[in-house]
Amino acid sequence: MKILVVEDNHLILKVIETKLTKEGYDVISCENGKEAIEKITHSLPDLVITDIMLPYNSGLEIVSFVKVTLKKNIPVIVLSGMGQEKTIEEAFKLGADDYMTKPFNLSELAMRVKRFSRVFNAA
Amino acid sequence: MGNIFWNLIEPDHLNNATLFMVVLNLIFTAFIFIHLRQKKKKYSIQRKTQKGLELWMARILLHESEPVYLPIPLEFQKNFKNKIKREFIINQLIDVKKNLTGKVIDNITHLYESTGLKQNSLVKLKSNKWYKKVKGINELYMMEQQDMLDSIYNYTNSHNEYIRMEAQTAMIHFRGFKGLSFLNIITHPVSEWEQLKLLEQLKTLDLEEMHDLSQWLKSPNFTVVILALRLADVYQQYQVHDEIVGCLEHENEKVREQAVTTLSKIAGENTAAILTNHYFKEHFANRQNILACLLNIASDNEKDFLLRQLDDSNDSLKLSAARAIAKCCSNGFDILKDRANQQPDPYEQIYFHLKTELQ
Repeated sequence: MKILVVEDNHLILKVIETKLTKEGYDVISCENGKEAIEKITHSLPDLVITDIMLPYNSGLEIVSFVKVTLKKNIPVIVLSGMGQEKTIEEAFKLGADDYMTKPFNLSELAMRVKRFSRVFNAA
Repeated sequence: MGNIFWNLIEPDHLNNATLFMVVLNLIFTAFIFIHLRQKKKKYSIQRKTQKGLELWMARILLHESEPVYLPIPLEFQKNFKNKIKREFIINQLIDVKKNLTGKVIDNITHLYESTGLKQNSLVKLKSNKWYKKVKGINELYMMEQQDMLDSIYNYTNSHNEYIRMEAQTAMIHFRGFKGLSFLNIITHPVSEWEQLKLLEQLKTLDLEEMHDLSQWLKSPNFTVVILALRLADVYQQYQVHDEIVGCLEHENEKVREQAVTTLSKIAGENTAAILTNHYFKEHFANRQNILACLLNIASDNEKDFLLRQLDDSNDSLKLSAARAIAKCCSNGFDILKDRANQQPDPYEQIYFHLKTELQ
């Protein structure tokens, strides 16, 4: 299962990437929304994990690109900050499949990814 | 003069000057090219090292068993010696700590201590510059350096507002509600912003045993009294009701205003009567505040008092009193309707206004 992780903090990105790689997933990563949209177009990942606040294109724009522009059924997990309820609501309206509020537990993220991977493997 | 100059210039001079300018231009362009190339090379090496360093750090942060001391690999040791890079690493660790929870947090603290990054924070803490001191305090509490608690506590009453604020935030971070003990010693004001920040910070914690607020309610520092009143309001501290009644006599108007608000939130049987008795000692703003608070706690016992306020010369107070009558007294709207029939101006307007507002 190929996962795209989008996060603008290098170290957090590396930590998530390392954790998911350890769990056996094929992880690609990038630090801004523009690059993420390019990677989604070219690599078509099976799952996208994205932060909301990103340079160039926001996490919401990424959700919109996957669900509205590409019309692909790629699950998207949104990582949001505390007090961003409105943004989460907007992300769900655009078609986001799940969200996690920062600070979040990496093991919990891995479990959520596992849930999506089961659906992916069953399909 | 011009002619003399042009007579002295030979075509060879112009050719030489042009050649000189071309050579200079070429040297300058070559210099820029070499400089940019070196910079790019340096950046690419740095980025490569950076990526390697981040990977090494990520692996340490994801260590599942007990934190162990892992020596810094040779290729990254340079990064840990460079002051700017150390700053960058600290900021990254703080960012990770803010965004993640679980085992990774212990590993962040361990990495911060074992790589000597704490020293950087200590240097900042001892700096004479306020902004460095603030950063030092922030880093130390973010990295859970409990041993620095006493040093940071001393700054909770610093003359510099920003240092004070950061140290107070650190105390709550370290000790939760017990961290509020700095209110015993503080002589400088706790600003509105800091009070809001502290209350927000406390909201994220489980309520442990609340410090006895009586002492703070009698503090000579009026901002401490206001914060104690707010704490009593948010955490429903009924046991200090009588001390808060005492605050109604405080010389500071803001304390009295907050005392009225807090009393309305922890009201007992006689609170409404206490407020109505106090009403006449107050200025306009706090009278308005009392009438607004009575809206939540008044009953038919306050009817006579409220009816008298309908005759106040100030229309705003009339409206507030009418609102309390309509909401808290039995047949409140009938009372207002009768009054409107007797004296249409201004009571008819008040009656219709409240009818739209409350019904």
